[in-house]
Amino acid sequence: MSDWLETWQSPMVQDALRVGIVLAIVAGYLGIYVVLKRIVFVGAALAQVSAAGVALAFLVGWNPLLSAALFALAGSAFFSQPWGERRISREALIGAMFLTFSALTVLLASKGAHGMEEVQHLLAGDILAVAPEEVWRIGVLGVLVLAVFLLLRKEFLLVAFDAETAQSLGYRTRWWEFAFYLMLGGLIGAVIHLVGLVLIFGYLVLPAMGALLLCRHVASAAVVAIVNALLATVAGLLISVVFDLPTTATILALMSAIAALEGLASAAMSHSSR
Amino acid sequence: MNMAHEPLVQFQDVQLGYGRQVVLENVQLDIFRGDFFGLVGPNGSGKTTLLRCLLGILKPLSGEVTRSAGLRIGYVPQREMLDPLFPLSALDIVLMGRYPCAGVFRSPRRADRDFAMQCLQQVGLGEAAHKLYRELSGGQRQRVLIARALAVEPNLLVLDEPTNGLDLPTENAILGLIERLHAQSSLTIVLVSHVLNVVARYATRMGVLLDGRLLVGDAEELMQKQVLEEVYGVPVCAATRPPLHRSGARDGGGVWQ
Repeated sequence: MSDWLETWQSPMVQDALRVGIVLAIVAGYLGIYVVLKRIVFVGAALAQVSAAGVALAFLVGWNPLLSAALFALAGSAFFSQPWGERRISREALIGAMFLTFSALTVLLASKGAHGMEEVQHLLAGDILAVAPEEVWRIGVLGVLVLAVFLLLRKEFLLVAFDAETAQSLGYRTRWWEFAFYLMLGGLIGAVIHLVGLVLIFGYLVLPAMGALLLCRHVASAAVVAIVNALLATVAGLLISVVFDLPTTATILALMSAIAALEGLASAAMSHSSR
Repeated sequence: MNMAHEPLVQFQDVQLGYGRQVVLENVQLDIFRGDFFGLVGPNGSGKTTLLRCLLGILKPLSGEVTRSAGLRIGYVPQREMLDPLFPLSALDIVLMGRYPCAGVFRSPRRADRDFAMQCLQQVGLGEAAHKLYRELSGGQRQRVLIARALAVEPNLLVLDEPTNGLDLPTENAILGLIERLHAQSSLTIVLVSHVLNVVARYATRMGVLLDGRLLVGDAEELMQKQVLEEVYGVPVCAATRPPLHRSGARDGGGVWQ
């Protein structure tokens, strides 16, 4: 048996594959809402808030998953608040949160046992380093988040598209927004210390972006986003094993390539239909 | 009790605002069944605030807002508030009006889909049901939003600036549609606009927002030179123009004779 096949079949790569598949399905689907709601950078900021939670946990000896989840929940509550007519735009606030928690993560990690190595791990992550017991945990969380999202998809869609009309129909949009951010934050918080900030951010943005360029319906875009993410995950892991490349970067590069191809296909289709 | 004179919504000595900031005071307003009520006022006069309270989105700072039992409001928001990037067809958007009927955790049923289709046909957009919202013209988008409000099976239709950004023929067509819905379905209408002549052409009763207060009266009564000058702060020159020949009005709106 060739070396790469042996590596591919190793428990380490198979666990990474399982976690990647769960993330591809759940984050790929949620990403459609993240991109449509124009809150891409909220995803990044929430991931950074969670990373600070992990850094704090390493420093004081807490459970990193619990700490990340608590930070993510606090961040979700914060970002779900309506941002009306203020003197500062919501975009500036998201940027400020991202920078503040980036700085906090570095400061906390610099005093931790592993120093900057920890920061590097939180940013780039390593899906290959996921412990077997984490696979089940992420699997259960993924199924839960996906089930809630599928059951409440029409309400989330209405609130995202037209919150005012939703309110006039009796929906408490503030609670629906909170529920959305809670699941987004919960997912990010649960996986950030395992796969890193960049990869989870990538799963939330790139597959959905390509799908939305290509598709003419929310449901079909969701399916294509999941397929994009699955393709990039499986092919990315395989390529990184065969060619001994960094896994996160390979998966992200494939996601970008797929999104770019779909963008080109969309442009070609609209050009030919003129 | 005469149903026609039963108010669907009643504002009694209502004060509206946000936090400590009072926007409107002493609002006394009755919206009666079968009304075509026009709400006008310059930008920033508090139209949106009053509208939000009417819809039940904003609670009054003081006073009382009473809604009749069984009141169902179909709301048509400003088109500019909606993001055309969402890949939603006209039918998808109209179906949103059926979501409360379908209930949480459930998808709209076949009957809801059929009803949404009927609403689209009612506004003349049956053929465009599967077109993407972003591919529709401004007038067609407005019709989709009206169809969605109709899908709620409302007894009160509230429209916020429905003619904003439309060219004149399309504006006439939309107003003609609203008038037809009012006449044929006995639908109570609240039409909000900053363009006075749009409202004055169709409304039977009007509310004019002025200096944080609401003046309510018959359309003719409020269209006096003195009132208009006070509201808009500029000299008003009354132009005479022939009345709208309603019987000749098609979907394209009224015909000036």
